[in-house]
Amino acid sequence: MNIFKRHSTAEAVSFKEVLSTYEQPLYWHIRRMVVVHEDAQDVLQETFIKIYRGLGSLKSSEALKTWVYRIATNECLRHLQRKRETALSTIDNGEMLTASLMEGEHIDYDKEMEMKFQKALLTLSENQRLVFNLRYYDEMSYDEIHATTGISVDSLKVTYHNAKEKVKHYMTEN
Amino acid sequence: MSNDILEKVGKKTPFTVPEGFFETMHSDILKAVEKEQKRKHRATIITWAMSAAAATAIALISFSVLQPSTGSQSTQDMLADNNSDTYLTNMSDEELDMWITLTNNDEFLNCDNTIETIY
Repeated sequence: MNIFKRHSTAEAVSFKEVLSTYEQPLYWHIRRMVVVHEDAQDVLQETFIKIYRGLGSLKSSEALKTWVYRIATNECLRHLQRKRETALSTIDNGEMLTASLMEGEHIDYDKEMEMKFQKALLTLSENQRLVFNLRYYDEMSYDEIHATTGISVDSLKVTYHNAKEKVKHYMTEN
Repeated sequence: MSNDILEKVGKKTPFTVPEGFFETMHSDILKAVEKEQKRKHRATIITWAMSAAAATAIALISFSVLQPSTGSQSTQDMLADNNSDTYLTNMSDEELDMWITLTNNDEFLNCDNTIETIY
């Protein structure tokens, strides 16, 4: 018996298939949110354990993408929340993550433009950054982002627009 | 302002991963999930065994309570007869442990015993 085969009501979905399809997109989604490679690694592992636990109760494989992204996003937000709570200083997550970006490992500092762009993203609120990343990097439709985050489509459009303007402003002013 | 800046940067990021990271990560996740599956399987067996032991204990207690009192056989006597011996022999160690614990802590059985000792 394949131990990783769990059956949903709609059709059989193999955990290994989900892992192969989503491990890299989810890693990059998580990495853009938590910045530090080691943190992204831990969050990714926790995400897949939760995916494994819940895969059997997934109603439709059509919802798989937004479902796995929702789990990953929740794990990211939980991680950032924990980091905020355990931080000794009063600096916010944006500043903390910018510090990690500036002195972390597994970051190519020669890519100046990309570095600046990531710094610009870290000036956004957590929500704005999440919406921007899902739309810009993961190329999700607003409906998919709505299914992932639970934020209404109208709010998402406004949030993405504001985030984009803020990033563009940072890029031209700095 | 146009989207020039966004187009210029594109989707590239300065983030990198150690060499062979995704291969290692893939097998690490599979190992973690396998561990999780074993843990879940063990938990199911323990729950099942405890339920079976509790059901057995309840059945035994109910049997002793509902049995019409003839005044000739105590609970201890009933447990000592051949049927009960066979039943106890067929019990797993976990069920037996659970049954002994329940019997030792059972106020009714212990109370019955005390009354017999007194009279």
